[in-house]
This record gives sequence, C-alpha cells and structure tokens, in this order.
Amino acid sequence: MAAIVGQAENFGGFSAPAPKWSIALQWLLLLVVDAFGIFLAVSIGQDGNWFFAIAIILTLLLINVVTLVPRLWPLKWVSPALALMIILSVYPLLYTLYIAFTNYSDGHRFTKVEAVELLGERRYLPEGGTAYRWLVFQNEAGDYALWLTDDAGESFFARPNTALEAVTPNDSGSAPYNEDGVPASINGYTLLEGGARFRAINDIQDLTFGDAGNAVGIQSPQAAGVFEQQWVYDSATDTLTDRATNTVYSANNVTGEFVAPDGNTAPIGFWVTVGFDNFARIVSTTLSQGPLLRVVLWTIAFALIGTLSSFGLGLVSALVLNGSSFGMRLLRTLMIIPYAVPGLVSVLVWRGMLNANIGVIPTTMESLFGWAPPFSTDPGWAKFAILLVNLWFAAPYFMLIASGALQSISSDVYEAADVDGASRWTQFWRITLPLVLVSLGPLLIASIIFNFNNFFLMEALFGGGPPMAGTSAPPVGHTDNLISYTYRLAFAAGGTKDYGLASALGVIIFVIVGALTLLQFRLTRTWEQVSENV
Amino acid sequence: MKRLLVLVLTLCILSLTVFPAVAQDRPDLLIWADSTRAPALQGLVEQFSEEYGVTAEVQEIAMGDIRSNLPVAGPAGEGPDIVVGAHDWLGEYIQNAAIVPVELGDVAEQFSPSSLGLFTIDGVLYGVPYAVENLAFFRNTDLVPEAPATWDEVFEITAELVDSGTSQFGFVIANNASYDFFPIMTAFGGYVFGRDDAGNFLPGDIGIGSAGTIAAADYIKQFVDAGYLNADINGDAQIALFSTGDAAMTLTGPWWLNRLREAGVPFAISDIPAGPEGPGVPFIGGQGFMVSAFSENQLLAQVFLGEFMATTDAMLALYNVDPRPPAFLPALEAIEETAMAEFQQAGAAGVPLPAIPEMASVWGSWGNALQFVVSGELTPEESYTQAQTQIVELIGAMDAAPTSVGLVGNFQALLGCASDWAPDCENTFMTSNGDDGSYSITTAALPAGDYEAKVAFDGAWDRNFGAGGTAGGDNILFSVPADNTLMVFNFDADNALSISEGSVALVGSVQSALGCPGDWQPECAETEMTPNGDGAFTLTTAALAAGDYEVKVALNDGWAINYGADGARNGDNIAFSVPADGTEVVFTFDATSNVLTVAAGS
Repeated sequence: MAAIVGQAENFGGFSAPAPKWSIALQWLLLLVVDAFGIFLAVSIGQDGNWFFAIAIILTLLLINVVTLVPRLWPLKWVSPALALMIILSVYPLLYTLYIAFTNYSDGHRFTKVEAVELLGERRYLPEGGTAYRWLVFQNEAGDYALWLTDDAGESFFARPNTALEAVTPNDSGSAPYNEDGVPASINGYTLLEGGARFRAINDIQDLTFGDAGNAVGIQSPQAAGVFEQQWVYDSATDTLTDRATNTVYSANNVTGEFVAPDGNTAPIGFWVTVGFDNFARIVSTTLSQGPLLRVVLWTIAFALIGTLSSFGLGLVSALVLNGSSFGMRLLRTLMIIPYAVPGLVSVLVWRGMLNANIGVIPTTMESLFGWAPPFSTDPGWAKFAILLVNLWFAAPYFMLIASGALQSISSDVYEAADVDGASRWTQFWRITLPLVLVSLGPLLIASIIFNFNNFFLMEALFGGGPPMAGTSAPPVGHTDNLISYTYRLAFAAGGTKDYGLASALGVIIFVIVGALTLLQFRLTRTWEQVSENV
Repeated sequence: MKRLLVLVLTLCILSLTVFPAVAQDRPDLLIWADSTRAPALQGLVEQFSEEYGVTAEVQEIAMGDIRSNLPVAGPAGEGPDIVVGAHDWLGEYIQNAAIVPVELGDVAEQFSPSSLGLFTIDGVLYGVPYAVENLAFFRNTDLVPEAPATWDEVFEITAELVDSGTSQFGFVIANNASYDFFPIMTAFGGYVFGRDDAGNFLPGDIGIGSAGTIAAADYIKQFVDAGYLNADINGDAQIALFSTGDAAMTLTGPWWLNRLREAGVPFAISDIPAGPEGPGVPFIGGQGFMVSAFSENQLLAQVFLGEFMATTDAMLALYNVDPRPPAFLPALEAIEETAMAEFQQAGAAGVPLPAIPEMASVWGSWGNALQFVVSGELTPEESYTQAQTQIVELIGAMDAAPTSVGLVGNFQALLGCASDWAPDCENTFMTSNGDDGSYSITTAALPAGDYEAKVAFDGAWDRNFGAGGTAGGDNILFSVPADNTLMVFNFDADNALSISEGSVALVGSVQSALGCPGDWQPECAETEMTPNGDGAFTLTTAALAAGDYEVKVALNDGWAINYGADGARNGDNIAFSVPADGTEVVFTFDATSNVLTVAAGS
C-alpha cells in the first residue's frame, strides 16, 4: 500500500488549479457518498453494531478530510481504495481479533444490555390474574374494543381507559347473540371477522383495554389479561429478578450469565471479554493432542504437493500444447473446461466417480485388474484422491498462465542456446524454467497460501474423512486441514457455535498465512533481481 | 475546517430525512422457507394476502441458512416473522432466544399429539408442526417378498441372497449413517441420551458407549465380516444400490419415495425389525413453523399459523410439494397415499430426535464410530467407547478432572462462607478420598433443620450436579436431625452426592488393648466414640498400659475419611504417652474442627 500512496504523491506534483465544474462535481459526489455513508452508519448503529458504525464514520471522515483539505488532494485518488480496504479488510480483521478475546457463542450472542432488553419483553400472568379469551370489535370512529370471556364463562366488554363492563345477555344496545354467545355488534361496536380482524391485529397488539388498575393487554391469539413484565433488571445490584418465581439471578460478568443462588442460569446469557481464554483453550485442548500435528503436516503437505504438482502438470501441458495448429488450440481449450465448470459440481461428480461401489473409476479398475484403490476409506488413498482432484482443478489454471509466460520468453535466448549446443533438456532447466518462475513464482506462493486454506476441497470431497481413530474430541478426519479442522472445532462438532474460539483459531491461521505472505514478498524481490539480470 | 463541519452537519440532516423514506417497506408477514416449501407457501401466502388484505411474503433461503441466520438477522431487524424448519433446531433457537412460544388453542386437538410433543420443550409449545417423519424398513419385494420380523432374519435373508448370487447386497446401511443406525441400536438396547420420567433428554446420560449400542454394532460387524457390507457404501451409494435392485433391504424415510418410484424398483415399507431388546424404534423428526422472537408482528404471525395454516387445504398444499406424513390429522386422513400410514405405523413408538443443543456434539463422533466398525479399523467396543469419550468431552468436558469439588447449598453461610450457594467458598470444598474419584467432606456445625445441597466443580456453576448425579439437576434435600449432628457428604465417581449421619471411631495402636481384634482397624465397634451432643465425640478409657501410642480418627467405619494431627484430613498420626498403667485417658474429637485431643492423666 505504501507504494501506491507514494505514487499518488508523485501525481500531486502536477496539480493545477481545477476548473469550477470539476470542484462542483467533486462536492456533489462527496455529498452523495457522505449521505449514503451516514445513512448506512446510522442504520447499522440502530441495529446495535456500534463498532461497524464507528468504523464507517471514521472512514467517511477520512474521505472528507482527504477531499476537502487541499494539501491532501493527492490522496483523494486512492481514497476509494483505502476506504474499501478499511471497511472490507481492516475492519473485519480487527473485529475478528476482538471476537477472539470474547466468549461470543451460542447462548452468549447478545450484549448484556440486549439480553436484559430481550428478557424484559417477556410477559407473565401474575398469580391471581385472569386470562380471558378475546374477540375484537371496532366502532365507526375506528376505536377498538375487546369482548373478553373468562374461564367461568363470564363475558366483559373492554374499551381503552374504561373499566371492564360485565355484559348481560341480550343487553340493550347489542345485536342478538350468535351460537358462541357473542353479539355481532354492541354499543356501536361491530365484531371484526376475517380480513378485518387480521388487519386490526397489528393495531391492537400494543393497546391495553380497561382502566389503569386492570389494563388488559393481548398476550396471544388465545389469551388476554393483565400480563406483567417477567424479568426485571436492577442495575444497582446488577441482578435480574424472575418475578414469576421470585428468583434473583446475579450477573456473572466473567462467564456472561445470570446465575441464581441454586446455580441455574437465566434463559439468555451475554457475551463478555475473556482475555486469552480462547487461545489458552486451543493450546491446552488441541496443541497437546496428536491430531493437530497430523493435521498441520497434511495441511503443509497438501499446500506444497498440491501446488507443485498442478504447476508441474500445467507447465508440461503448456510446453506440449505450445503450438498454434488447430489441434493444439482445441486441446488447450478442452484443458480449460475443468477450470470453467463450477467447483462444487465437479467435486460431487468426482465423489461419485471415486466411490468403490458405484464409482466408475474403482469399478472399472476392479473389472480390469481385480483390485481398486479404496479411495474414500483408506487414509493414504483418500489423500491421493484429494491431490488428484486438486490436479484436475488447478492444472488448467497453471497451464493458462504458463502459456502466457512461455510466450514472453524471447526466441533469441533459445537461438543462442542452440548455437552454444545446449540440449533441449538443458534449455528447459537453464532457460525455460528459471524464466517462467520469474513471472510465476509469486503466483506459486499465492497458490500455496490458497491451498493452505483450501477448505472447500477437503469438506466437499470426503468431508474430512475417513475419520481418524484414537483421537479425543472433536472428531477429526485424515484429510482435514487446519481450516476444516477449525470449522469442526468451532461449529460442526461442538454443541454450540463458538465464534470466539473460531476467531482465535482464525487469528492463529492469519499469523501463519501472514508469515507466508512476507516470504512471498521477499522471494518476489529476489525474482525481480533475477529478471533484471537477464 | 469550519466549512467542513457545516457541510457534514448538513449532510447528517439530509441523509436522515432522505434515505429512510427510500428504505423499503416490510410486508406485514415475512416467511423464510427453503426451496422445497417456498413455492407451495408462495401460493398460499398470495391467497392469504388477497383474502385478508394483509401483506405477506415468502423468502426462499437454504435450509441450513434459515437455521443459522435467524439468530443473526433477527437482532439486526432483518429477520423474518416466521421460519419453516425442523424441530431439532429448537434447542439452539431457545438458547439464543430466537423464537417465542406459540399457542394453538382449540386447533391443537387436530394435530397428532406426537407432532406437538416434538415442538414442546418444558411444557411450552414453540412451533406449529406440519409434518412428521421417520425411517421405516424398505425391502425389494422381488427379492424379499415377506417383511422380516427380526434383525436376525434380516441377516439370514442377506446371507441367502448374497451367497446364492441373487443380489449383490442384502441389507445395506450407509457407512456413517448414525441416524439410520439408531433403529438397530434401539432393537439391541442402545440409546443416545437417557430420558427422565417426563421424557426430557438427559445430556449427562449418554448411551453411545452402552452395551446395547455395542451389541448393535456387533450385529453390523457380522455383515462386514461375511462380506455383505463394505466401508464404501455412503448415502449416495445406498440409494443407488437399492433403486437399481442391487441391494434388497435398507432403512430410509419418505424423502426417498419419489426417487424410488421413478426408478421403478418394486418395494414395500414395513415396521422396523425387532432385536433382543424388542422392536427397533426410529427417531421421529418434525417440520414446522416457528415465530421469530425478533418479529414485531408476533401476534399476527400466530394468528396466521393458527387460523390459516392449520387448515386442511394449506396443509395439503404443503404435502403435495413435499410428501411427508402431515401432522395435521384432517390432512393425513384426506391423503390416499398408503405409504404415509405405513411410515406412521413404523414410527408409532419412535423417539423424538433430541432437540437439546448437546445433540449437535453427538453426530460427528457417532457417525465416525460406525465407519470405524465397517472399515474394520476398530472393534465395535473400541469404536463406540471412543465415540462416547469424545462426546462426553464435547458436551462440556464433563470428564475433565475438576480443579475443586465444592459442596454448595443453603447452609454454607453457617459454615463460614460469605453466602449460601457459593461454589467458590473454600470452606466447603470437598477432599478426594483417593483414587476412586470420590470426594467427601464432613461437618457437625449445622443446626437441626432441612437443607438443600448440590455439588459444583471448579469453584463455578458451569459443571454442577444435583439429584441422581444429573448435571445441572435438581437440588438434593437432606435434614439434620439434631443440632451438631455429624453429617458426612460423599460425592462418588458417578457424580452422585450421598448424605448420611456419620459415626466416629478411634483408630490406632491402642485398639487391641481396648478389645479390638487388632490395631488400626476403623471397622472395630469397640473404639467407636460417643457423641456428646455439641458436635464433639469422646471416648474415655483406663485400660491402657504405660507406654507410647499413636492414634487417628476414622469416620463411617472406613479409611476414606480419616483425620490426624491438627485436624488434617489423612494427617499424621497423633502420638501420646500413658505415664502409668491404668491412667485415665480421654479422647475428644471435635467434629467441627476435626481435631482429636488426647488427655492422659489429670
């Protein structure tokens, strides 16, 4: 990024007074960007995600400063890229880092405030309260009223802010009662049925009927009554009281729970920061166990072998098909097909083809040789199968880019080699490969990094299987790599989705990949030097 | 700079007024359904909107995403009012407070009781079921004309068919299909979670490593040993083999009906065969509608479900796109498909697929266990014991050694703790009885009365045990008959806490002189000490010859709990001397401080 900024500053040297219309356009553009950004921040903030809202505001401020402060104008050209990088890359990274230090997981998905708020919405019928069945009426002015019937069969007519009125059958002012004992209209109010009733529901769900001492609200389609708030939070004592059972739950701000004296917890927990707990758990539960070492070895082996094998095959294909005849072009096109077919489709097809009972590869081999490799059940063959399928995916890609690299090698070099009497073989090792590596080296490293994190192939082909015996939890398979193991550890295997733990593992993997990337930069520089010397 | 501030302020106001107006209007009811059900619901919802003038919309979302996205989208205000999903999501949803109870009122009578049971947690209904589903036994009628009644018959038929070359496979089961394995497990006495009397699943009682489960795995192993099953039959292969007639029998559910009919294979559906422990029972799963806790129109959603969806027409519309036995009885009756009744019959005694969050920890290890057996990598016993260990570990590291075992209860303040029910109070930490994994503590400081107790590990509530050794179980009640009675609390390796009155015996080199058969015998009744009512126990004797002696105190006739010098548990012997033959020696044991004092001579 430093390089890009540097370039932008160079451009700044050319700045000439901009025409008026250009400034106006910039301001207009800024106006739109700001308005959209503020709207985004406010609506995201309203949903409770303040971190993201603040990140957006800060980014927006940055854009404004860069655009409005003349000294920083050069930066304005990179500000869209910078802004996107902050929102899409830096922010998620920091957020993941933050989550890694919390216990954010199933059962701890809310902040304390949210948890208290959610519980505060729950209602209960206090002891001695009456639950009525209800029907809704409306008068011409649009006011609503309820027809309430209690368990004893007594009926009441309830209007907002008016005491409940007991109704006697065939009272004056009411239409004749139907078979359910309800009049079609009463006191100028008509019974709402069908669509009218459905449309009224959103209006009446928050109303109360009856006077202050007996304010009947609607709790469910079956029940109305004087329902009260069940969970009450007291910030002074940091306790939550369940009024239905009169149990006091004290907040445990270390584990993120409300705990009653007898050890039971309130229905909703909240998330808290837990320091290095998640990392400690990874160290104590996984690093000390055998599978992790095997998983790491396989991850590295797959990243290296998978990349180098597909690069090798791609390069060979490119060399062999490096002609311009029709046949060559056709073959080249055909080779690209695996690259063009959606990955998941290919993997599913491969999974079927490799199955020992119904797959075309094992059944054919079986009939030809009387033996077929147990692809999906033997750990070694399963790894082989994964490398094979990876070859199918990645070799065409390398063929494509290697073809390009081959075109760029000047034929002069080969002519000179011919004159010097170098064999084809020597030419390949001394000229072709080094020169191809100059341009493809960085891509190779990038591909190794990609394969290091190749979740898709591991999960889709055998789901990590065959399983590894003799391990402790969580279950892990022979073809699981670090990232799919992480997934199993944090989401698939545990009873709860543990985002905190997953984030901690993500941070660790990020550090590893970061180190690889640094290596890439270093190697790239080396290659650049090589190419300068050619 | 001032210019900048003014501008930003203007923009704030502008954006707050303009954009919300542009923001889209939500429909009154938004329903999330997967691609199978969405089209049927789409039609129903349009009809509903037209009929009642309430706007409703269906959003098509992948099944797995509905499950995971509701707790994320809901709090952000982007969630639906109603989701269509499976009953075993309930545990996770309730844990994340994502759904609210629903009330069906009188309509409830029209649903099959078992389907309502699936959506009921702790007596509260959380969903409106529309279909129930379970496995049944499928056979190819050309190969197996009569339905086998027992699993032994299934094996015999398989042997006959395969050995005679009539068919490639007999009975097939996918290599890691724990769901399909369950009906076999139950026929052999296995289970996943134990259940209490009310039918609730007990996450502390896991039966994956039980003898019944292993017996069922032994049964499958027979097939493997004889070459009738191999490790490479996965779910894809299972259906492929059965639909081509290469496999004669299997276990599967209604979701296969259409595919099998298209394949044209002649098949019949029957009950699950029986094993030594009776008929096998399948898991029962339910599909239904749940109301989002984040919905602002919960009442409308409930009325929609109770009055519009709970009708024969709506239920049949769903059945037609996704033929699974309807939970709504009038709809079930209206269906002419006999297979539905056969499935219902096969699942009549079924066990609800556990909806507790702990179930998520079971699948992986449970499925792998079968794969190890079928591949021959592990014996059934090794395999299922390993799975049990993994599951126990996942469900809450229940088997990890506790850092402390605390006796907690409403008496702790009396024992010098800061408060009652304090798991971190060191005064009531229990002490290990040795290698058998049991712990105990004694006290004589409690006044007469009734008390409640539990045991909590690690000074926290995360792992606590109540009645019957159940994790998070009910409080254990006990009473102290008289003030200062010596109470012994013993917590055994099965996490059960037992509470009894204690007896105290003087043990040591004095015992043979006091009429015991030998020295250091805690079970000897002759040296039992007498309680004197204030929490102390005494023994007085003048029968000792002059000399040096060593003594300790042992509780409840055994060495598990013994106290030595300074009242220390398993402490050093207490040495004393008797100056002359016949000196009166008084042994006093203070059961509160656990200190034994010896007074020789006056």
